[in-house]
Amino acid sequence: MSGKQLLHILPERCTGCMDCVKACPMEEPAIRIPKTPGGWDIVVCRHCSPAPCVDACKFGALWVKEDGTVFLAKELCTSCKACAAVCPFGAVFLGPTGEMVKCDLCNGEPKCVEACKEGALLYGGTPDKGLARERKPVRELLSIRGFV
Amino acid sequence: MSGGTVIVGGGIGGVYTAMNLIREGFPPEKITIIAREWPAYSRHRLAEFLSSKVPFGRIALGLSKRLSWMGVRVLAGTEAISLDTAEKTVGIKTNGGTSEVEYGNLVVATGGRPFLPPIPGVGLKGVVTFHGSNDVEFLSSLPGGSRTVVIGAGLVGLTAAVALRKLGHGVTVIEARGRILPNLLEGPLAEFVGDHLTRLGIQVLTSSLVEEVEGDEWVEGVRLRGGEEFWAKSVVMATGVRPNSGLLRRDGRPIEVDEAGRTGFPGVYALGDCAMSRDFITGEFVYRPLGFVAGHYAQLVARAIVGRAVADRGVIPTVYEAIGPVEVYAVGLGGAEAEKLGVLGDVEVEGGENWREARVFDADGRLIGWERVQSGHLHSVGSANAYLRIRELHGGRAE
Ligand SMILES: Cc1cc2nc3c(=O)[nH]c(=O)nc-3n(C[C@H](O)[C@H](O)[C@H](O)COP(=O)(O)OP(=O)(O)OC[C@H]3O[C@@H](n4cnc5c(N)ncnc54)[C@H](O)[C@@H]3O)c2cc1C
Repeated sequence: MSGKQLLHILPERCTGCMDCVKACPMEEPAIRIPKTPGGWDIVVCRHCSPAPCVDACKFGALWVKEDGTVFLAKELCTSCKACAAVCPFGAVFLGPTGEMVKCDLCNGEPKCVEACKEGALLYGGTPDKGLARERKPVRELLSIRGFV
Repeated sequence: MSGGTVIVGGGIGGVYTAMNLIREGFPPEKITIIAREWPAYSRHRLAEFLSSKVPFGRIALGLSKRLSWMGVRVLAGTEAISLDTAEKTVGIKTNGGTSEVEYGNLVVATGGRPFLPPIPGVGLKGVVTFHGSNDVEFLSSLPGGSRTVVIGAGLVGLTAAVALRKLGHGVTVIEARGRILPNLLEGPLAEFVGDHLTRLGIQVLTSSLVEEVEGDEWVEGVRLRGGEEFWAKSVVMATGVRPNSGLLRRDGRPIEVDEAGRTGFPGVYALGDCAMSRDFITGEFVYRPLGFVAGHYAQLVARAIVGRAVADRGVIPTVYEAIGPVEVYAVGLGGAEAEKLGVLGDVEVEGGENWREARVFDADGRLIGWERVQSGHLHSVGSANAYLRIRELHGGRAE
């Protein structure tokens, strides 16, 4: 499990510049930055393991790749929306044309992370993320992945 | 083709059964799909197909083409009209006439059809359902600013209403029961959705029975019991779905199956909107015409056909829908369904300005359902928790 990469999300660093949203190469961005009373939230797939969306998908359209990415194969998806119903982060979106939209980590080189100058999005293995362990979203993520 | 698998119906259930069979190692050339409509498309995208005016190719399932490439025989434009379970043959009708197809295993995936209540005038021009691409093609052709009445306030009716409103039409939704989404949501949550629909400019009437659809050749409006009239250029009937079960039974009821989708006839399976399915929580067989149910059984039936053991506990409903600005989540049993199944205990409802949530418990205080409606970006881990909790609490029997 140690070789797996994680997307780390630190919303308190987010300034709402939307660079990540603009950088997302998907037709409908797979990352959303809604305003919250105290700042900004970052809504993007956390690539849970085990992932409830993978469990709920009855069409074989969602699976976990070797590097830990929860991958959505559009050509197999029917938009039944069961994945959206069980996602803990509200991060599987129903796009305007009825297609489901979800982050695929850009094949291991997430463009949103490259674009984020604030360090609100980090991508890397778990060991070097010890510093972020006390932050709640990371803890949540780690616990969902069975790390803490 | 004896020894082959014949699938009747080229909808989600049929197409995914074929794919799963191939994944299980079943030779594609031994699969035949009898499909009245082809290519297969997803009804789940009909509302967006209407509101975003994307081409049909965007709702068609890419899998249809792939199956043909892989060697699956597709009898497109062909209807199965009879079944001889002793001889193991299906009678089919194509443009050119009728013939027979032999099967080793048969999968009946004929789906459902919209239920039309016996209201005078439902046969008038301009009265459509919201079930197929032809319905959307008609609704897309309406001139902007037309008035439409949607009869039935389930998910299908409400998503159609919102899509029509987005296109600039005047929309009235008429529901016979006391609240919208009566089978899905508890009262306060339904009310929340209703308020948002009203804010979108959609008129919502509950406890209102349509007595007649009025007009000569074309629809002109509807009249309620009590006399109130609403004029409209089109009427969308969204009053539920009935199973296309005629190949196996004459009484119009859904096809009964076991936990692996087997019917009582040797080698004959049924799944999707034409058949019953098992509820995970109670273990009871129910009629749930939902896509993920068809997908679930498409996996089980394929496994059973290739001879793998199937011990399945059933389906946990996992519904998500966006109705205008409101996101609707319903995991597990709603109060109404729980009551019908005789397992309803308490229902707890709480809420804030932009959200409402309900938890449904059985008589022993165990969680059996979770619902939430919200507007704006408020995510809740509750749906995932509820899904996992329900699986843990009620998944006693081995999968
Ligand atoms: C507007 C709308 C939105 C929906 N949204 C959702 C959603 O978001 N999530 C969800 O889970 N479910 C949703 N559903 C329900 C879902 O679409 C159905 O449960 C699903 O399509 C069932 O699949 P099926 O294969 O059983 O039937 P169908 O998809 O109806 O396919 C059956 C096919 O069989 C063909 N057929 C019938 N009889 C014969 C015959 N004798 N010979 C040959 N062919 C035949 C039909 O023409 C049809 O193509 C929605 C339904 C509608 C109408």
